[in-house]
Amino acid sequence: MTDIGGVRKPPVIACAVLFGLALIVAALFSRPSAGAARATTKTPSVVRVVERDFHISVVHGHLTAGTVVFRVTNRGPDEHEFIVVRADHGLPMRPDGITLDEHALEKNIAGSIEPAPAGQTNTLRVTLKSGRYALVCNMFGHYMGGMHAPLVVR
Amino acid sequence: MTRAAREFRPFAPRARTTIVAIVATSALVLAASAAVSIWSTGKSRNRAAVVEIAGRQRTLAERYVTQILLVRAGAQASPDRTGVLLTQSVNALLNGGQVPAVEGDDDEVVVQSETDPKIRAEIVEQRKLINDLLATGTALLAHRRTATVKQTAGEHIQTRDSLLRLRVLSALTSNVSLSSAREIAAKTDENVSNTVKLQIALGGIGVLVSLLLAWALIATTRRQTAHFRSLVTSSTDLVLVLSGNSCRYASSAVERLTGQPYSQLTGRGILRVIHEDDRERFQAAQQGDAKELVFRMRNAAGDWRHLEAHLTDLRADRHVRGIVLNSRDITERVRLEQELTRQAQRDNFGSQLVEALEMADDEGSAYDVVRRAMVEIDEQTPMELLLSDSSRAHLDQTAVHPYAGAPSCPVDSPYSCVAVRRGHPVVFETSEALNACPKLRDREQGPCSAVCVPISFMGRSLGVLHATGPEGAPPTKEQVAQLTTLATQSGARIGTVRAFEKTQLQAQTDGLTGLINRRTLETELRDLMRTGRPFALALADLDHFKRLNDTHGHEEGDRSLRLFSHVVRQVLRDDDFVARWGGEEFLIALPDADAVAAVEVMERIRGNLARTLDGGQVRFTASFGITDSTAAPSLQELIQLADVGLYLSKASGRDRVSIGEWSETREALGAANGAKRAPALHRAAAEDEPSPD
Repeated sequence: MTDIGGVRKPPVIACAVLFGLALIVAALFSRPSAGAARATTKTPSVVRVVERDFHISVVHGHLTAGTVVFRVTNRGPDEHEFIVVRADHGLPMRPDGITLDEHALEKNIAGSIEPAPAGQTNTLRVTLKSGRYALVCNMFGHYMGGMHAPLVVR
Repeated sequence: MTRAAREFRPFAPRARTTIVAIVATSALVLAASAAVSIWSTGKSRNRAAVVEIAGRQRTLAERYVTQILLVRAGAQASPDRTGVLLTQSVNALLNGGQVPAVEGDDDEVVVQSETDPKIRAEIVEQRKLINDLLATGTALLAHRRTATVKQTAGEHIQTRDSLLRLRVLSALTSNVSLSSAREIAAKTDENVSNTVKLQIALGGIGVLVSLLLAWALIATTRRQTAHFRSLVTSSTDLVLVLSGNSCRYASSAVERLTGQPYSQLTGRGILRVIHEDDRERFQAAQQGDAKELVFRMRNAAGDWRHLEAHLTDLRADRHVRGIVLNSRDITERVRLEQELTRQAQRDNFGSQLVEALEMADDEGSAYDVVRRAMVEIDEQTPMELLLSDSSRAHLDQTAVHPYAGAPSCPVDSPYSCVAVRRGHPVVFETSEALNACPKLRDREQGPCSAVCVPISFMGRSLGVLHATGPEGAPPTKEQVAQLTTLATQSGARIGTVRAFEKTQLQAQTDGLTGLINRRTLETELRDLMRTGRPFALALADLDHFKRLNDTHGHEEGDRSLRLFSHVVRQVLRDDDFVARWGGEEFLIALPDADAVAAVEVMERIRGNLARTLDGGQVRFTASFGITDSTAAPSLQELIQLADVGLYLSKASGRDRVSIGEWSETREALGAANGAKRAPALHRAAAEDEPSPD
């Protein structure tokens, strides 16, 4: 059999030009990248908190104002909740003298995590202003049992 | 590599195995479900009590604080008892065992040890808190500093208020108890939930496996059904299911045999392919009146096939509700049986024919047997037996069908008959065919069919057996076979009879003259003498016969003897006897005649002989001696007397007739020699041929 026309090579130059144009168009019409956005936003502080019967450990004791991410791990064996409450003026107690008056502290509570079983790690993202804060577990007797830790935000 | 074909076992109990597997699977699933239930129930046993006790700890902790306060206030209370209850309860929750009753509240109960690590950790924590609580309570009642009480549960109570420390510990104990109670309850719920899930999973697996096995069962059943269908459809046996007066099912073999579609065979349509003569029996069989049935069914070509059927009454079987007719084609067998029957009939006909012909001792009797055999073959078919005469040049009609008559074949000689020439039976469908025998044409009865069977004996043709029938309907093969048997056997018998008669004739006659010989005549004469019938006896002798022989040769002598015999036969009556007595001597017996009459007859012979010889032949004369039965008591003596007469004729010059007398004998022989010398004298005279003349 005779190949009359021979094999035609693809137009390499034309393909390269088209590819370049495509890159340009993509650059013009694409959204700003996440990296660019992050470049203009402050990275939140990450605070690692460990709860156990009946103590709260905080790795970073001093933070700058802004978004703070708490990674709370309950080492148990009991359930524990996690409350971040502003404590510039002390923490009021309920009449029983054992638990904090959360109703009175409602405006001061920056955020909380519902009681979690032992072994669970939860994250709480809050925005903290400068001031003194307390990290507490206000389950019955836990606060008075020693489950509270101070936190200063500058 | 060739893979061996799997064994074909349509009746293998695969379905049974599958059903057993389904049942086993169901049982396994049920057993597993029951085991799970038992296990789950066992795990959940007293869980409610455990939850209650765990929750009760909270109350007891609060009660303990209250009782401490009461004791401190001087009231009567028993915090130690409550502390014991708390301790025993938490230990029982942790390690299992008996939980003490709270007086006036509940009863004792036995619980199992907690196995869940998380709950155990909580209970351990609870126990530590109880210990701290009780230690603090004890210190409080003992008015010691509670702040010095060691905190073993990880609590960090900072207040120095002993009562508050006690309340905080109570609160912690209460909270931990509540938490563990919730955990236990949640765990119990989880167990129940897991059990339910497991049960559902097991049920689902069981259902799935059962469905798979059911599918396998259906597939197996379909495969077996396909196997049976293949067997039934490929079987040559014809299967019908009859119900009432109709046919409910006809197998593929019936469709193939009859060439009728299924819809035409079911219902009452089946009767259309059943032979009319068999329909009544077939319908009776439909009613269950028969176990076996032989009937005929018309096949696709329109031929009738013989079927042998076995009927099974399955009307009580709810799967069938009918009579199953299982039949097979026995046409070939019937044909063979019919052939054997015909063969037996032929053999019987042949054996009877042979016996009958054996009893026929002459041709006439043989012809009679042939006529009766013709009737035996067929009463309506014209038949005739044409046999050649002694010359073998002409065919004579020797036997005719007594009822149907003769076909009257015009053939007149054996070799004019095509069957004789061919040497085997010839069947003509019609006399009008181009290759039909020309002697069949132009007969009075018009066109006809015919069978011509040659008859032979010892390889020599005797004739032909001829039968005719309507045009286009020649005698059947069976009749042709019987005609052939008849021709063969009758030919053999007639040939034998003829040969016997010929032999007997040769034994009784003289070969040269055709007259009876001396022995035959003696027999006849003894019969005459025994019956007392009178007769005359003449002894004739050709004169000078030796000289005639010597002069003209023996051929002329033989011719003279035959001529004399012919002349004698012309003169004699039919019941007279003449025999060549020996040489040129002839003995003539004339029943109911005496010597005188005999002389007259002999004279007539002598005259006729002389006139016959006037035609130019060699002339000769004859001398005669006469006697009759009254002359002597014995045949020997009578012959001697005739011989004496002959001697006298010879002695008197020959060519004359003389009556023999005893006296003349004595005169001729001399008294001394006696009568018994007469033959000797006669011989001497005969031998003395040349001398007198």
